Amino acid sequence: MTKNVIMLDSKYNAMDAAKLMKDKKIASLVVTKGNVPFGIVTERDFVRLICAENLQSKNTKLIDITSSPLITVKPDAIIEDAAKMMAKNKVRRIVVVEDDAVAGILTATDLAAYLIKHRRGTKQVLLALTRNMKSVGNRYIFGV
Amino acid sequence: MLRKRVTEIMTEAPLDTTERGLTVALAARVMKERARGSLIVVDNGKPVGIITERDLVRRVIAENRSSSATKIGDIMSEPLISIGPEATVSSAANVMYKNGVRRLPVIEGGRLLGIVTSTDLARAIQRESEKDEVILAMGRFKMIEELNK
Repeated sequence: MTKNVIMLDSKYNAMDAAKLMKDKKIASLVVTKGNVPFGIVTERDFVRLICAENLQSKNTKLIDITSSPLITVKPDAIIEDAAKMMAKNKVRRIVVVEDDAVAGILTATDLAAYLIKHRRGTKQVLLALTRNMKSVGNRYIFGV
Repeated sequence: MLRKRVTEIMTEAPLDTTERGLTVALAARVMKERARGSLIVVDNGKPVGIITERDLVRRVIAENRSSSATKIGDIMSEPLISIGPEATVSSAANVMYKNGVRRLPVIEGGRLLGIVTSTDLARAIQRESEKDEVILAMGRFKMIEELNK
């Protein structure tokens, strides 16, 4: 999983969230309410709920485009079970939560990296799925 | 599997496309209604660029631009990174990896034949690793849905 999860409080607007995602080069944000993880917002949500509806991002509250509740696993969950949960819920990321605190995020890209490491599947294809992202510390950074 | 041609696993044309002079709002509506993560931009039928969900977030939403006043031509990614129909699954995987992209239009003589995505590649390896749950999840779950039918 990726440990350094970027989060933003639900009091911000959609433009703030998009700017943060752009600056951090990430595809989703965990949205918090107080200090508790509340939901998630992905690139897809912005396109479908703001662009397609022709809304102004500055005038749209982050909470209005946030998907909640979060689909979560505990840190001691088995990877295969987390993968099944992703498949069942048709999501590409699952938030790892313990005692109401975010411990990390597990993405489809993390799964591809895991398979490469354990020599399962076809390496060349899995590398394409990781999109040439280099792991820096615990975070993936695009285009390094 | 790696030596297979991409044409065997791609989504074939006609694809949902957009044009330089159309608005972001219109393209986003197509992406929403057709459940697409990207649209190829065509100019007189020729593929010239691509817009992805990421482009819209970073170049429209983050800049607080109006979706109905912003034209596709102002925010699209070009030139298009593409492959020919003779390319193999292996070479498509390499091109995606090297360029950090997940989608490759398949083009021959300026004509858009189809598109191959990293999900298509994952589905191709699923067939050879049908018991691997993690690989199943990578292929965006179609196989599991089919198995559950």
